[in-house]
Amino acid sequence: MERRILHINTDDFYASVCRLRDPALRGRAVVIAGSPPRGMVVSASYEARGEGVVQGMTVSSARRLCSRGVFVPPDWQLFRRVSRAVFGVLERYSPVIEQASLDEGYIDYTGCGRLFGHVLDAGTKIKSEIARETGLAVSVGAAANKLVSHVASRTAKRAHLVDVYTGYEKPFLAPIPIDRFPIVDIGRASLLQELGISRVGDVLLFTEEIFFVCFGTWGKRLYRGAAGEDHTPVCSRLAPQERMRTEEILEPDRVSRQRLEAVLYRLAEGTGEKLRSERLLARSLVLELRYADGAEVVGKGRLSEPGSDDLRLYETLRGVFARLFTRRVRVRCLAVIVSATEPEPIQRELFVTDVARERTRYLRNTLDTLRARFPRGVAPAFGKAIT
Amino acid sequence: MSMSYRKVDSLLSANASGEAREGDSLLIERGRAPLDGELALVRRGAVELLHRWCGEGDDEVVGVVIGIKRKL
Repeated sequence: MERRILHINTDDFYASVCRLRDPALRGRAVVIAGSPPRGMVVSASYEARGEGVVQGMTVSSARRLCSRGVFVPPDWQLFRRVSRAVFGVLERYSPVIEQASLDEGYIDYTGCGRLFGHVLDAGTKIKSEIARETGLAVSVGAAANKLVSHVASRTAKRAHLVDVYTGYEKPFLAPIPIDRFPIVDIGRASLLQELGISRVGDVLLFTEEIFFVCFGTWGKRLYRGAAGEDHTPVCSRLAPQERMRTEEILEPDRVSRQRLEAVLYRLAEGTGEKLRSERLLARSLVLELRYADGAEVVGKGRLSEPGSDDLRLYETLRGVFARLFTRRVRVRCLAVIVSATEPEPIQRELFVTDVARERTRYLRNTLDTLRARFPRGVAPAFGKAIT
Repeated sequence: MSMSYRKVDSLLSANASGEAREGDSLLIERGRAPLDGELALVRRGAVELLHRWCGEGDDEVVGVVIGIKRKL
């Protein structure tokens, strides 16, 4: 059966939700951001983006660029409520839905054509139902896999649907700028552009082996992606990347390695707590480091064996951090994302052989319980003690 | 290999064999001959039309249709 994946993207989600709450914001440049001057831009409306405001920028920089913009603090409860309503509509069209973030998700539409018709008809119905129930507009990308459908919905933008026919993924992706390809992050995009690869189609001028030698498994993934191949399934649960993200905006920006490592430990503790609460073990972690000048670097580290212990997560993160932190520039933000997980074994060992590990596990669980009960002040983090 | 968009007007929609309607944009791959069974945009005299390619006739091939963009 021909695989059909729909990528649904809510246009200008955060600004549109703010406009629903306050109609006076209609037609004005809206910037959703934390409190000034250190807060960061969460999202910007199309009007604000037109003036150069981008996500991740500090509020003071955004104000300089967009002096007439309306700055609104994020109301996460409201965003989540509206997002639930949007996904409630999507659930009527397929049992397999993946929520990639609050404002975008995938529908596995394979075999659903008999119920709801061609993807063009289904897209129209989805759009009108979402518009009726939430007042939001959506863009839809349809293709044979998640990657191409994602690019298609980005191309569609502003209440359009782009349907890429099966077998034509390669010519569709070829003219896409490399920095707009979902697999490629900002750091790697500039590296690829320096190598003369400015469009996705340029990747295919080389061989897969060259990319594997230069970039490892990511290079292989990039090459396959540029050829329109992506076999990742649509997972019904919220993507782990979204659930397992822990970040800290530094106040003020820091350049001291010792202080940054202390922040890293706090992030490791936060990540460990999330993992243990969901009974998951991390296999690999991604560290995002954003400098004060806006440059961002991303690195990945694999744990020697899957785990959720703070110290082991910290050791892995410290290794990644040592590789990433190569400039003497102040750091603004650090974020940890669990990129691969596996479930924690339910069956405990009958005869405990590794007593130290069992004690650590017991200690961590006790600390988690204490922190849940007394969120601040009690059971201070090791990282807190250093800073 | 290059891709371009072609807006479907009322004339083309009448000759689209139900594959597209007025207001849609066709995603066209240019610079190669269509294979049998592929949906192609061809020019016959002064008229453009869409049809499944079967390798016959003297139609001038504008491009192969690889997708469609529609306003929702």
